[in-house]
Amino acid sequence: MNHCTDKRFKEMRHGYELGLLNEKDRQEFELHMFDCEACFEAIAETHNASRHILQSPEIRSIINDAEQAEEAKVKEKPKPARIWSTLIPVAAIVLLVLILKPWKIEIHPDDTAIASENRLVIACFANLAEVDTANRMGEAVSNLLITDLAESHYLQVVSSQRVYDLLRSMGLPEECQIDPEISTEIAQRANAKWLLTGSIIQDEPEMVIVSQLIDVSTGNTVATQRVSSDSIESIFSLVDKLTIEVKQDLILPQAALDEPDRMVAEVTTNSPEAYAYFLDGVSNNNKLYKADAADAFRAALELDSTIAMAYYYLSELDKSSENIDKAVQYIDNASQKGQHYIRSRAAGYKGEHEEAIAELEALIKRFPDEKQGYMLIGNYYFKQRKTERAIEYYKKTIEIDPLSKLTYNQMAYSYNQIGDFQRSLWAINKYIEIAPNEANPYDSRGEIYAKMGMLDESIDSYRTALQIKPTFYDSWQKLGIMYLFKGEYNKADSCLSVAKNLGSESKIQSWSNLLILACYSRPYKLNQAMKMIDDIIANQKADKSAKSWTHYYSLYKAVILREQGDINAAFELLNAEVNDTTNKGTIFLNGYRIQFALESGRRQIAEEVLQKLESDKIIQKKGKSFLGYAKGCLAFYDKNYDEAIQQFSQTMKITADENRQDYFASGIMLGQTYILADEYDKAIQIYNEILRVYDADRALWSIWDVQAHYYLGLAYQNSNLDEMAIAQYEYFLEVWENAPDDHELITDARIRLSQLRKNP
Amino acid sequence: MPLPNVSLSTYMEKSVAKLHIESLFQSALKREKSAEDELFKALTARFQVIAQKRVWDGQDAQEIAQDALMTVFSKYREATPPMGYTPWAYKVLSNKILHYYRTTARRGEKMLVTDKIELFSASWTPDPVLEPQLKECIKKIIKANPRYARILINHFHGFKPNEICNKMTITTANFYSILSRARSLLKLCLDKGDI
Repeated sequence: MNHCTDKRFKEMRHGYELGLLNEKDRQEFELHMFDCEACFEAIAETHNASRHILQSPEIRSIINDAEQAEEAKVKEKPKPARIWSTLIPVAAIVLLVLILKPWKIEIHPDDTAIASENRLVIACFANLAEVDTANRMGEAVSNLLITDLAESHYLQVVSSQRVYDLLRSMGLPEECQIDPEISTEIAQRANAKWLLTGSIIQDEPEMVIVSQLIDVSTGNTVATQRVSSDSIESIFSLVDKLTIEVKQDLILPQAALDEPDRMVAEVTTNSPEAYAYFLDGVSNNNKLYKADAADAFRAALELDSTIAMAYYYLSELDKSSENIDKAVQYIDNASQKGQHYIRSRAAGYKGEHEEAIAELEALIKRFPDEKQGYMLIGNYYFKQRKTERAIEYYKKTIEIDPLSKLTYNQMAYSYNQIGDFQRSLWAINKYIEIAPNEANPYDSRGEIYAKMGMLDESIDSYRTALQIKPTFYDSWQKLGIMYLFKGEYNKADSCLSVAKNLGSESKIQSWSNLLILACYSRPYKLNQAMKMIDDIIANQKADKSAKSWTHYYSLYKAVILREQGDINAAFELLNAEVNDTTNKGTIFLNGYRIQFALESGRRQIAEEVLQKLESDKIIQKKGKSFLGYAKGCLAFYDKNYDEAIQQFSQTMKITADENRQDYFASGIMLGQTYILADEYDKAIQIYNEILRVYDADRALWSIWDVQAHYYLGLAYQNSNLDEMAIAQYEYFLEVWENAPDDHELITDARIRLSQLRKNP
Repeated sequence: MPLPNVSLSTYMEKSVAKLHIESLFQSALKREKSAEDELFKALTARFQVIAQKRVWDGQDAQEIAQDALMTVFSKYREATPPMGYTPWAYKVLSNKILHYYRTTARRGEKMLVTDKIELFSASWTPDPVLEPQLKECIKKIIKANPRYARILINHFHGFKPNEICNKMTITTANFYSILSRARSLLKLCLDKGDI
């Protein structure tokens, strides 16, 4: 039988059952019950009986009768204990004073908040006038106040996002309405000097809001405010009134009261309904419910088409420049904070990253809690491959919100980019720790492992992601790629087929198809791959929506034709594809078109195409990768290896993070150039770099990928690293066991392997 | 510091009252399925009892307990609460209860027992077996421990514990002691039919 060893709690049991414990004791007892099986069982056992004592009218009547008789007896009894109960505490206090005084010991409150000057937390306003929880007027008032007061240069207003982050870090639900005690704790954690709480106490016939300004360090209310207006439509003007009162009560310098104070409706909207949708959108966006967020922002814009920040958020959700253009158009309708964000993204869309960063720097200087600002700066530096700088900003984001899972995700990729795999894994494991039940962190970890060349670990991670979310097509696709590199082509095909079926967008289906093709081309089953391409192209011609993907299949087909020795057909195919004016997005094929023109003896055509492309200003700016590749090929076939090395190296640099298909092709060509220029160590370095990473772009170049092992073997052999060369030749021959015996590279690899084995 | 490697059977030893919910959390964090199941069971039972004690409405209490469990089990791996897992789980439940009172039309958890009785009388039906037995027992307990009746009646009249203590000129410890003795008598009476 269980027993409780703590007499105090044991005695509290019945008090708890009858609801007779004071608040503090009740909390202590309930917490005690978590670990004390005896108390818990006792309470559960007599639950019914104690409920009867409280609720049964008959039992209450029995008690009532009995009590009357008892009361009379109690009144007659003397009360000697009272004297001692008074004297003992008094004596204790006197004694304490006598002890402490000679030593000059003074006791101060030790929980004084270290509050920043004029830093303010605004708690969610309660709407006491409306019991309907769907009515979010209280939330709207507090958010409008945050926006309005944050416009002042003399105040630091803690954002609602920061409040939610703090709630999350305390293990509490991210809700607007929170307990007053928690509000105070939030304010303390946010290093705020002031806390503003309030309520809407009446909404009809006139709206009345009351608020209290609390000094966080003492908990004392230093001022109260009361504002009223005559109709609900004027919620915005009511907030304007309250802003003025709060600023006056904060005892700010005169300049703060004199600074321009735009009406809150001017920096948000005039429509309460539109604002409610907008808040919904922001809330969903913070929770990463992207589709819901986009719907809410669109609904807000239907009611008021001038809400700049709704366009801003939408531009992020649908990655459209159209929405950021609209945000810029209505930028005057945004707060100062919002304007920084809008200007930054507009610059980013134009590729003006430095300007985008400068805007964000100005933002975080003015609003130091804006974790999103730090994160976005980090992202810009990441794109620019200034990875150490990116990491600095990600760390600052984590300082503000230690549970920012997406920041850990970005950090993992950043550390990976600079080759710090240990920290990369640390960051991704932190992401997993924060969101263990989400598939994405495991998917990201799989990707990190794949970038580190750890195939088996990567497969395990993707499998975990799929256990959590079996419909996560990203993980199916990546798992298929890993099996492809492992040479388990049937498994790869199955996984990629699942990804294809799960993905509803034509982009996902086409990528999966291209990767399924690799399951045939990598083991040199070129005829099967060719048949599959022809079938896909035929089907796509019937389906106009998917036609934009045909050029990828054409490139794939051209590479196979080249491999089969029909370089003329390969060139003609790409030439026709680029010249077909109904095709869009074929411009990137020009690098390979020029390469194949050169290989098929069409040097003049190659030069003409290149000249034409270079004269186009847009292509000069946006087509640097394929122009560099084409120029590299021209120099390569001219045996101008220095120029080729420069062009291919430059192309690799600018395509390392985006457009990685060109990155891989440039790497293959650069390695070959180094070999021809007798710079074997550099060839080894390049091949190892591109062959270390297992990703979709490498998988798409499966034919050249396998050939790269042969060339790496050559580089090792010429560097007298025979064992390494043998390993590469063996691997090459194993993967291409289906290739014809008279294949040039196969024959050469066999001869070299045989020689190396004979002369160890 | 790593936790000592304690087997599950130790957690559940019936002769020891301590359940070590904190240790169960730690084991569950290491993905020990049996520990997680045990944790789920223990928290479910406790959440239900506490929610019923504080909410009174059985169905609402059930929903609150389930909601709190969902939060705990979806979040407990996300970060280590500085206060420890058990207080955190309790805090989650308390917050759900607070939220319940805030989002229903009811006036709040701290309403007087008289109001609660009135408010929840519709959703309560007496147990036909227990009630007569309890009536007899209560009479006997009051005879043996008359101050128990005074405490109860003050409670029914809406006095708070400290007010009852002041009225009866007793300390809080003494107050709990009176209740505890009455409870022991009640338990004895319900088990054996007499005291």
